[in-house]
Amino acid sequence: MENKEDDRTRRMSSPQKKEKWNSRLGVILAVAGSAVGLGNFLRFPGQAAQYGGGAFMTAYFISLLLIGIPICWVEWTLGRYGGQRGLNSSPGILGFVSGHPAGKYLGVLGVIIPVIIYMYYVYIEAWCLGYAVNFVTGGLNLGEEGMAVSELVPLYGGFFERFVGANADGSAVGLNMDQVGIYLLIVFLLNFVLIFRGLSKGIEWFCKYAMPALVLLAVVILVRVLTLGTPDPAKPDQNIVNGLGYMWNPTQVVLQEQGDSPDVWVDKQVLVGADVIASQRRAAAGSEELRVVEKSMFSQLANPLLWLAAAGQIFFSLSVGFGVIITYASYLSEKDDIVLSGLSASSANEFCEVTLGGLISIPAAYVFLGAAGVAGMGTFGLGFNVLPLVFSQMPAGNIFGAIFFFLLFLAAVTSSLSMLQPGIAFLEEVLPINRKQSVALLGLVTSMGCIFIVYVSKGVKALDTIDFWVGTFCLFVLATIQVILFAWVMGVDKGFKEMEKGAELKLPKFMKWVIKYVSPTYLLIIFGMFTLQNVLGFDLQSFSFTGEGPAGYVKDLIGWEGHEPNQAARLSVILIGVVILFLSILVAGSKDHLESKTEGMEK
Amino acid sequence: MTTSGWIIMLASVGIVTGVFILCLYKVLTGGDTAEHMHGLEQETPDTDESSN
Repeated sequence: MENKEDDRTRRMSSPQKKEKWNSRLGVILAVAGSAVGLGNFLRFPGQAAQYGGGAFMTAYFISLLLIGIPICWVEWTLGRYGGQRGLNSSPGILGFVSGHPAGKYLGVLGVIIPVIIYMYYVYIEAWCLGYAVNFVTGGLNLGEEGMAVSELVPLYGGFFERFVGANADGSAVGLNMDQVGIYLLIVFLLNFVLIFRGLSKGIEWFCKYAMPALVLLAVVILVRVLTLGTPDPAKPDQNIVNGLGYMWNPTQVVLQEQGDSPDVWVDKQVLVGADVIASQRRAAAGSEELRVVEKSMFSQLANPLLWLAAAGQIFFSLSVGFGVIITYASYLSEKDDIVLSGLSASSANEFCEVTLGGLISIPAAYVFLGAAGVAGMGTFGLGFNVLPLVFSQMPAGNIFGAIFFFLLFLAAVTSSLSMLQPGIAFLEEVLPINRKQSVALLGLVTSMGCIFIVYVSKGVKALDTIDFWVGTFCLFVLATIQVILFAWVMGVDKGFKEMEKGAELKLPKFMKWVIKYVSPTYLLIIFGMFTLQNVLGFDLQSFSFTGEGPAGYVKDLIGWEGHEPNQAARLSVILIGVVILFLSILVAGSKDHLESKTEGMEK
Repeated sequence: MTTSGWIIMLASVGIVTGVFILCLYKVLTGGDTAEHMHGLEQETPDTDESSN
């Protein structure tokens, strides 16, 4: 017993190799790599097209300036501030900054979020690799020569369902080329080999090659998409210019059909192109059940759902409230310029999202499938049903399909790697173990969670449930905690002094006001709207409760009239609870160690 | 695609690309800090090879 104590004391007090970044560019690429993911190429374009390019981009840029970049800077500052005191994990840093034991437990969110998201993110990462391989091997050449696109749609949908095991629990577990199992093993191994190599030799090294490669591949795809022209002369309206218009036009021209009552009109299709609009106007003129309306940019901005979508996209895209930036920044010193680094990482993410993602996915899909084929597609629908079909229709589509899914794979790996580092830092901080032992322990925990998610694959329910509660809901909570701690507990003056240490760029004074008042208020309003709609079932457009009870994610857990509880959803929430309990016990057990690190230090 | 669509697209793409290039330029020409981070003098039970 005594020996164990001696050993522990020796480990804690002896000078040891420390983790650090090798270069400024390296840390920026690592943070940008963490932020750039599938959302940049699939979620963003879908959201922008759905809410009308111009209106969406207005709300998007406002959200970027009011919550995205300010909260990024807050996380970089809190991270480096904690790192100066030997703390690298969210529980340690938030516990110290708050000066209250509850801070450590709130900080556990900064470990839970990346660790749990990792469990399902590698599953999606494996889809990307699997699709790239299947494009190379011809496994995604579905259907027969001359088949109509409408006949091919169910074939690609069917491939996706088989590949990810959406038809039945356990059906994804297999080692065939058209099953996700083998690819999952490869990506799991790749992630842990890289994380095992350490911060600079693993994460930074990989991101320094993967990020430029990703941008290069995206540019290749972008050039291919922008030179598509009008692939089918029989459908002259399905051309690349109209595809860009579908994505970016600020005024939406919409064909609507009458709903249940004479006053209710339901959007049927967004119309793009003068000929299409003219022909639909003629058709609507002779019908009492159809009409064509124009939605101006300002009328779209009055829709609260648009603001929720734009703010949510900024939030998830920049990886704020994720627990990653705070840990990455903890390995920096006071001489490092975190203002420029934070802005650079955010701008790299925005470049990938707006310039590359915004010009690729939706315009390409529109050219081959038209507005009807693109509308209402979620991230997975667009990425794994629509786009594979689109690439299969292009000349040399196998090559471009493989390149596109490989770039998604690279984007996913740089993100998943970042999800492991907070867990590693946390375990090293609360247990007397080194990095390699932490990697082994984290590997065990994440692989158990991942096996559950992959096995409970029917309808991708487990993934969806965990993504909602951890990958969305908890992000809002953690970001809110961080910005309040920074602005109101640490103090915005002190926080800015910390932020500007080593900074070449001096922030304008009004940013203090933004971070102290505007960012928390904006965040709380968006979080409130999100909770009202997605948890309580409130309809933001009519501003009333629908009368159908809470939202689907809650009904899945508690059941509701005519809605049976979903066992996969319940098991997923139990998994989240077990991880929270496990990590909280570790925090509780490490009380002395965490506090001894910062004993005597001024907060 | 409407004229306002072109304006929105080019302005959005132009702004983010411009800021990205500017940041990249500042990072790559930022003197010695561009190449070497300062790191930390901290003690963590981290990559301690001797404890293996």
